[in-house]
Amino acid sequence: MANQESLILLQNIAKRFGSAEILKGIDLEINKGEIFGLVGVNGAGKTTLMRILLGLARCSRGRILFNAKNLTGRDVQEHFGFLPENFIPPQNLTAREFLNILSLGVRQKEKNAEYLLGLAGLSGQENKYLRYFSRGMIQKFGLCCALIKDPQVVVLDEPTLGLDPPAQENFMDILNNLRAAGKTIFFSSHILYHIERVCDRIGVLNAGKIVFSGTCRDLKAKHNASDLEEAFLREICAN
Amino acid sequence: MRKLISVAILNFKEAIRDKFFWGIVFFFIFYLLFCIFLSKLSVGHSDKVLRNAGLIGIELSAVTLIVFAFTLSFYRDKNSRMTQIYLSNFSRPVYMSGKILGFIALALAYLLLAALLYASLLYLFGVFHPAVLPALYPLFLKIAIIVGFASLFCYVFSSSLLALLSSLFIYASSVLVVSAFNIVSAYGSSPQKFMIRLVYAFLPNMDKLDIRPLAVWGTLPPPDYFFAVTLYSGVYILLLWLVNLVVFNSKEY
Repeated sequence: MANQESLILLQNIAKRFGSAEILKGIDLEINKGEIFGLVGVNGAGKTTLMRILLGLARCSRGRILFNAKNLTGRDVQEHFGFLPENFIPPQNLTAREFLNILSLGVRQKEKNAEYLLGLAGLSGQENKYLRYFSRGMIQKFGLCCALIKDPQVVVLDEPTLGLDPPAQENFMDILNNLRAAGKTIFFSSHILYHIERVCDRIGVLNAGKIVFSGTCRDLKAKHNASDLEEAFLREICAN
Repeated sequence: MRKLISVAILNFKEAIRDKFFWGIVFFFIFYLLFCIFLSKLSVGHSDKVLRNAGLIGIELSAVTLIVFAFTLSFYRDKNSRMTQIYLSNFSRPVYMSGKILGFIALALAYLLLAALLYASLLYLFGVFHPAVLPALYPLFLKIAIIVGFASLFCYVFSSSLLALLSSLFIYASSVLVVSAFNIVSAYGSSPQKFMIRLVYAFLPNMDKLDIRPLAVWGTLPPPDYFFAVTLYSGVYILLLWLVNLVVFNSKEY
């Protein structure tokens, strides 16, 4: 279970593309060792928020704190692992080669390529060229890339996209294991069943604003709904 | 340094195993075969024609390889979100420099391979002269500068086609500008002379990095020349790197 020590604090984050304001003052707190799920309809700004968190995009205003200090690029490079949505790895390298060369740059000594591939359920695929990986295998491989430096925070953007149901279940088990190992996980998904199954807390993002932040149980109780999907839809319609 | 090398190796390995690299190598082999035919038509100077055409082929194929391979790699990384993976692990200067370094290494690998094929052909036809090999060094410096421009245009333009055409345009104009410079210096008005001097100073002076005419005749410039072109190219690449850094830091991925 999550403890209540705040690890990441987003304060008044806004993002403007031309005249359109995509994020309108996001305030969010992610605690150490918890799985935080970000849900929202398409175009709500989930990916943009993650990109800002990782320094891939700049916010128009607001600030991000990490361990009570301003988040820096070095913090991201040392403590954050990221799996982007629809990621495609280099085609002319094997899984082992890619992870080994990447780990050379992130100074990872303890966890080698075999360990990570085994963790993601890709044992025996070490010497296979990444161009021969299926969509599901690529997603699992992306998780290996996100974990290569043994990060404190794992950010996953739609990580179960393209996975078959058993693989999705397996992925959720991996997330639970990572939480048990003390990792903080921040992920977005459209599959609310997964969100409900693994997340300690969730944030509902709608039209650039966090309209709800709390546990799944709180959201269901707020709308007197029997399942998360119903509660989510009511929350969206109410805002 | 480890991070830089990591990015450079990833880019180098990915590019050298790409079909495009080997496509250019096979194209160059066919070009060399064409050079043999060309030399047979040049009665009396077949040795020099073979040497000259081979060096031209190496330069054109290396420029094509580097411009296309760099541009395709950059936009593939961007569209496949690999850039996001890299930038969550490495700082922007490290990623940018590593990519440039990886492609300079690719240029070097290609030039060595092309030089081996070229020298073998010359040797086979008994027209090999050792002067042709040092001529590849200024050529390598030319390609290194073009890598810097290819990188810059990739960061400037969101369209891969524009980046590609701009890199090729810079190469072509920097090769041809010396002719315009000579004509305007002789016959142009003062504003024209000022303009062409400005353009000539801004563009890389590829004419200074071309010792092909000497090498074909079996002569070489003095050793000072090699020091001077190394210094010139080093400073030019450093300035290009700084511009790259400013532009890349302003972009979002």
